[in-house]
Amino acid sequence: MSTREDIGNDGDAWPRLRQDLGVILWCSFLAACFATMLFFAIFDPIYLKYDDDPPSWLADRRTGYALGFFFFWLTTAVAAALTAWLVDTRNRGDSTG
Amino acid sequence: MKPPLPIDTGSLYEAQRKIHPREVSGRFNNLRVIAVIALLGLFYVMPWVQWGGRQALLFDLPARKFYVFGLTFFPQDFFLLTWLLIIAALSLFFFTALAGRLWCGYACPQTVWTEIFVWMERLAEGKRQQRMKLDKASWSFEKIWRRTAKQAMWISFALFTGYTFVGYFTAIRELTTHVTTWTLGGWEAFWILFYGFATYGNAGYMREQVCKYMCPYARFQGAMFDRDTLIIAYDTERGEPRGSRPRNVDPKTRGLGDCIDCTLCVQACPTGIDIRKGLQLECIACAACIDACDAVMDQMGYPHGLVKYTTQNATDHKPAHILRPRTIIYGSLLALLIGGFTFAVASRDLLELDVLRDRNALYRTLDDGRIENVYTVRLVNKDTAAHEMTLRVAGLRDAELDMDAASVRIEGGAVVSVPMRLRVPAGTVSGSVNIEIVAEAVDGSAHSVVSQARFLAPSSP
Repeated sequence: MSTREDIGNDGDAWPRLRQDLGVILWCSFLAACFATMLFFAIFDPIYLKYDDDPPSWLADRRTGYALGFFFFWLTTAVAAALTAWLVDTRNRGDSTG
Repeated sequence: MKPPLPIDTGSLYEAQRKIHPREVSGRFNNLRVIAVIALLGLFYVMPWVQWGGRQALLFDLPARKFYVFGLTFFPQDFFLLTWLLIIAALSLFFFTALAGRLWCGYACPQTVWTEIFVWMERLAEGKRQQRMKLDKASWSFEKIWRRTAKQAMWISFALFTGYTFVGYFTAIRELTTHVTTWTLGGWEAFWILFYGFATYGNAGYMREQVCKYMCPYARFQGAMFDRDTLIIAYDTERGEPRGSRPRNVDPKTRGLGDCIDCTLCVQACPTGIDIRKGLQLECIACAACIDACDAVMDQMGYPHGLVKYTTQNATDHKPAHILRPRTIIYGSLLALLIGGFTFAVASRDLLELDVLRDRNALYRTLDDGRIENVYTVRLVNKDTAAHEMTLRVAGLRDAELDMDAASVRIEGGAVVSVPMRLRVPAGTVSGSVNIEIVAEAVDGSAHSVVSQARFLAPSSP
């Protein structure tokens, strides 16, 4: 561990698509972590039920946390991907029309 | 005899440069190794530390309780966590203004885990030249076993990391039992694999590309920089004009500066930049170029510091200021927030009392004409010690307070809900009365906590 060599398994600059994917997934992950923390600090997942008895699979809070987290991640990733795509393509109309 | 200086400029100016950072050693690399051992040591050892009979640091999400060294935090203490995050963010601003990207080079988890994964890679596949040869080689027995050894080390270390991470949320001793007896819960297994995979991908493959393309801090840290921020810079005045020369020739006689253009600083850079072109966004301030250059200066018999930690003002021969509006403002804000946080934690009520009315009936008239209200009393004990509490009512004349037992015992870090009945003689109360329920410790700890409630009776006596 005393030296650093050969960092970057292949040191090539990332292709554009991989850069975009990395940015989208990572930023949406951070936002989802933040949203999950805020949301579940206020709402206890076992009370997130639509009728009197929670479904049995929701009885374990860990299921609620995990579903909440992936729901937030999916939502933020869609927003990030759409934003990236719209920002990337916004001037194309001008140049062709 | 000293080894000859490697001089290689050929591959550096291709359109698509490959980054094959050269191994370096030196004082800043030693510093990073110390930081890596300390931080990773802390991460892997912390879940095993016990405090007062339970894990010292445990974020018990299933029970919605955080244990931090004898303190217990509940969801209602969430503002403290928010406060702590603001302090962390401001500290990052403060240290960035003061010392640049120290965080990136020595403390960021990305750097720290990359360091350990690179070390394992070298253990299995050898040094730089051997690795490059292995990359090109066709699949032989040697290539297979070296690659297998690397993957085995990476995967088991990543899984161990995931297991330790989950150990902050499920008591790690229980988790260990679950692992060794093959009774791991579904979510425990899932998060171990999830975090393990993230570690494997980030530290094994993505490495400094994360800093270049994905890290928001890397992009906005420039906003916190000023002319007195510690940066890594090449001393252009001293180094230029650069050029190769025999070792025992005075460079001045050839019109050269101290840079021998060996390009070792470029080869050592994990993000593949040339520090001699000035400060760049990609620079994570790992100081590998400083170590590389200092070693060359030693060989040439020149003084250290052609590439060094410095500030813009120092480079321009202007006075340096550690105290300046930016650092004073960040610093005093930080001191204020930390002081407030410490006070908030220290003066926090260790006992909490909620009194909830029974929702099914407003009041009940007993056979002898007395009026009864039923409540649920919820007591939260954030202390480590257990407490014995009694309840009394204030603001209600002649009231009788009835509970199943004379006092309530709450263990440290526990929540207890008990029923409570209040009765008043007929005709003493009409309509709605605001009352106070007082919980007092009878164990000599002088804890007392008050909650508001309402007592309801028929309107006409």
